[in-house]
Amino acid sequence: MSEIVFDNISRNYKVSIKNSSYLRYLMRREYKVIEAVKGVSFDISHGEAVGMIGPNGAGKSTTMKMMTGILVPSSGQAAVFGKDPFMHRKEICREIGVLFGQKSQLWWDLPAEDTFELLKKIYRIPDKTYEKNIRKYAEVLDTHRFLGQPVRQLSLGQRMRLELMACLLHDPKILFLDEPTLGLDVVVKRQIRDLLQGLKGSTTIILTSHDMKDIDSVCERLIVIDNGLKIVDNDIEEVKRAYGNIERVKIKIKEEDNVKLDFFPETVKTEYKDQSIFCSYNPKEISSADILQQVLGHYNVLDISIMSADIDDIIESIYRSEKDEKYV
Amino acid sequence: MEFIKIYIFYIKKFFQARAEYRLNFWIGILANFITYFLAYISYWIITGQLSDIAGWDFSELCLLYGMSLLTYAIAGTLLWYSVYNLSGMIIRGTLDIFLTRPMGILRQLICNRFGDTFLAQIFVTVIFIAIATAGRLDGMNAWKVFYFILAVIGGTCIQAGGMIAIGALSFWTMKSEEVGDIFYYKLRNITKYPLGIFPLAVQKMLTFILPWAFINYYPSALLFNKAESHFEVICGCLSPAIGITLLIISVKFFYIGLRHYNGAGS
Repeated sequence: MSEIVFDNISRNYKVSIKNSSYLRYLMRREYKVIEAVKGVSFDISHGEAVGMIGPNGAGKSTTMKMMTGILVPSSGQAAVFGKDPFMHRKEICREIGVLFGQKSQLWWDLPAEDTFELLKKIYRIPDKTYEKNIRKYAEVLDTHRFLGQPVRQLSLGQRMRLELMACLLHDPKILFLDEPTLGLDVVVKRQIRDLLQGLKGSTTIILTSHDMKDIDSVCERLIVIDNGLKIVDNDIEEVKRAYGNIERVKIKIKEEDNVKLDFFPETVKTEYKDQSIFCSYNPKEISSADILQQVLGHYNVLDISIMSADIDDIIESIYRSEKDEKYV
Repeated sequence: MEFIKIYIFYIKKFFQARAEYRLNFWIGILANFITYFLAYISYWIITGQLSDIAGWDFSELCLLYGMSLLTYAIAGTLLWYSVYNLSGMIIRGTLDIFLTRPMGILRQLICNRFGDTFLAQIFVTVIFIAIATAGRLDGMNAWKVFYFILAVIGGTCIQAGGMIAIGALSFWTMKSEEVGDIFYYKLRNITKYPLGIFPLAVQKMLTFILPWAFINYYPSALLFNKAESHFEVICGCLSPAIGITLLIISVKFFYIGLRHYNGAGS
């Protein structure tokens, strides 16, 4: 059953234009309408883990805020658990957890425990569930040591783990995470990913991140939003296949001057840098062995390394192909 | 009931957090105490020279100002920091967080910050209202006490309504401090003095457009039998009802504003 339905959702912002004349600006403002989200539709079922990506200002956060009932769409129908998220905000809030990576819901001067206790009251969490969840998540996220310390004394990584705990205490059915790993180190990122992987299946996860590894390790489905439009909505593996050029190989050669790479077929993208040849290609069309053979025929190879498929490259190629289409 | 429990929990936590900045807390209280203590003293000085203002003597003026300040301070304790200053909550993104919790937005805003500095104003005012009424006990009866309580509730509702309405403006304009400063503070300051000393246009405005006169003038006139016309008596009697009506309207207005909320960036 679909838990979140977005049907042709748009959202506009009215922004006042600053005129050169300050006086005129004060008297009569002119407004410009910015379309942050333009006719986006999707359907998310229970237990899905969906990654939402897009460049800065693409409309991800606006979309997320409409799903959680913070913003009202300018047009279109949104439904979460079959209900309008704004009209039934309180009801729906009981069943969802929301984390904004850049906003804190913890009391700054008090230990996180105190905020948790408040949330227990607001969400009417039964004692047993509350204690069970505190124990469980403190264990997974390794937060025992600083639960009782005022939040302002904590590091970003410690604070973010507590923020994550805060939105999990009431056993939400849907978890919205807006850039939860922003600015965190590798260890904390891994802890957060591990936790999310553990929640998969039983909890619907909507995740935005600029770190593609987060998305790749947690989500099966990828929605790409650019310029307010949904440009891709598919299985991550499908996306990888569709946008090809995902395997990369680095070949170090002896020669330094006059390196020509025109012997490769056109489908292989090549670059020569620091005595190395970088090739990216679709492994369905050409294998790494073929590539190596080609190079061996022309140069003396010193070293070779095959880099794993990197979703960053895919995203870049999606963004790039979008732009190309626009200018055609 | 649940709300009161949560509110009390918030207050407890507020004072725990505040204890970290104890000096700050006491300076805030002291500054407020001195400011408003001097306001009352200024009446004492004026009436010492002029004996009265438009027929209102020192104790009557104390009640007049006291009702304005008491209702302001009660509403302020609940609403000033988060609701009146809503634009700050929007800019910092706190409102987004509140919108993800299963509790009314106004309720969460009320809980968010206990207006501790207003305690000093309540304290000063209670002292001066006691002084104002102490010499007049012969004119008091149970009905008047009952009416006084109703009038304070009504006045608090008007003050709260004003704060909510001005705060709600920030859903459209993002910054509402200037509007609040003029329509709320400057105009409300006028009501420190009896309505009779102002031109008719001002009297009409404070009755029909921005009904600040219902906060203190009409109720005090009724309590001290100083109403100058039947109309003023009626206004005095209606003032609690008007307060509650205004509060309901401004809460509606607040929720209309919420629909226009634009969020605060990512």
